[in-house]
Amino acid sequence: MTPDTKTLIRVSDLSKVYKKDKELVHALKKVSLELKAQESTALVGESGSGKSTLAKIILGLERPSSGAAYCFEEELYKLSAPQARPVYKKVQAVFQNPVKSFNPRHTIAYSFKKHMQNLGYERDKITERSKEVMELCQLDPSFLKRYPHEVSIGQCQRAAIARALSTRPEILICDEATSALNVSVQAQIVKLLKELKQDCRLSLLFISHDIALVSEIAESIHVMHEGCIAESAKTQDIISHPQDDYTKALISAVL
Amino acid sequence: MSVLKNTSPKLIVFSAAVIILLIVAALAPLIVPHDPYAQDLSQALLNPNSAHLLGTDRFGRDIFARVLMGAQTSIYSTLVLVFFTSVIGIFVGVAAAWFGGIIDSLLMRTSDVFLAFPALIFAIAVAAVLGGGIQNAILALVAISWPKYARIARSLSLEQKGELYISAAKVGGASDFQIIFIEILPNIIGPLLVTSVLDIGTMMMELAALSFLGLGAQPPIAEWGSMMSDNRNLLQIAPWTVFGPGLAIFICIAIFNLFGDSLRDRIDPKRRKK
Repeated sequence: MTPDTKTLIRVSDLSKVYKKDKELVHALKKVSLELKAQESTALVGESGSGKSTLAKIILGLERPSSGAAYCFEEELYKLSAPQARPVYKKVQAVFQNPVKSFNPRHTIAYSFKKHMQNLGYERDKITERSKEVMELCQLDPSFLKRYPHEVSIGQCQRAAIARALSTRPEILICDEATSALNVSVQAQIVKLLKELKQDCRLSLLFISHDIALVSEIAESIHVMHEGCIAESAKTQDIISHPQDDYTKALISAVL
Repeated sequence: MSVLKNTSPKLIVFSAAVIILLIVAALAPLIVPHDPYAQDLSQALLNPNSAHLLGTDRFGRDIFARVLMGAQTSIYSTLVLVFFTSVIGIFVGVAAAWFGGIIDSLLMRTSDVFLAFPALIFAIAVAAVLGGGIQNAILALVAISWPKYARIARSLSLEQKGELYISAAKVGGASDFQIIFIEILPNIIGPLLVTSVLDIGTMMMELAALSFLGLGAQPPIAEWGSMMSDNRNLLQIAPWTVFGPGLAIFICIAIFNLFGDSLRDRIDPKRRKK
């Protein structure tokens, strides 16, 4: 790690408590982690381990109960929409269900346009840039005219990645971005993300329950279990020498 | 073209009927066979005949002409009423759902207060305070009817609020205003549109009822409710004076309801999925 790499995401002592049927659910318990520039990190854990909650808090979609999550030194959940725009220009997300992450009433082109307009992209270059990112994600630009339900789920996820990359972000958070896809499409999307990571100098925060998939793309892995980070290490080390019992179980289940 | 292909013949027929109704009402002053306000006591209480299709009232005014003129008052005031009711209700409902918390409680408790009044009694009270007249009747009915739309809009918006595309829009820097109007509204407007079209009949009836009670349109303005009220003493000796406007209300409400039903069949999300 070179000393000049800057920290893009810094999470410190983050806790989140939900109230569900009068019982308190601790989704996150004092989680801390960092993401540095041009690094790709993965969060792995079974459903309910709190990894998606963590992503939502980093993206400012939910508020933490205590602690803080900084994204480019800003706590997104504290900002109003206009204040958050400069940050969202640099950090973008791809969600689990690609078809549902587009408004069913708008064409893909319209969703792209609104996205870029809000994030301050030059208006007269929006159409051109839309086509450019579609090609970058290996999609025919004619798909822009379609509605989200008129394209296949894999194509839709490519479009979602294209939308996220349209404003040239520095970090892409992929929240279970491949879970809704079948195995072959999954492999294509992972390949695409790997290429984009190189070409666009992206940092990735890859969230998944699939440790085998994650080990292909991430340089380091944080294993989450019941709201805590059970183990953090380089991908190689974690696969070959897991320390934590939970990590061992997770790996032996796959391999 | 694809819009027309999926449209049922029923919907085409009833939309045509609604359009004809609206045109007739709009052109009423030009197409009336007699002056609806001209009194001629020598012609009073005539039976329906070839000159006076629906007979005349006790002042010798042509009932058919008055029914046509009344269409203008009744139909267009109802449309104004439904428009304002649904716009106010929908805006309150979506805002309550989106902002949640204290704004939600405040707006919804306010709507509960309005829902707790019996509609017609409240309208009578408003009319009593502000005086009669069609504008005040509309105001009273708007005040009493918006909570229904607010409730429907709120529950529809709550369903949408958890959807992923809202998160995507937020990460895309969308403001509250944009999320409400660009993201949520297009997804909930269908069922709300159907509700408001189906409500036209009910609203027309309530407006006519207020006029019947003397709190809506004031004489001599031709309005179906007040025409029935004016002539109700003559029901035994000249029933046509009441049947004319009564029949008009019936036909009008039937057409709007049938139109609403076929529109719902078209827009209903369960059918659209096929």
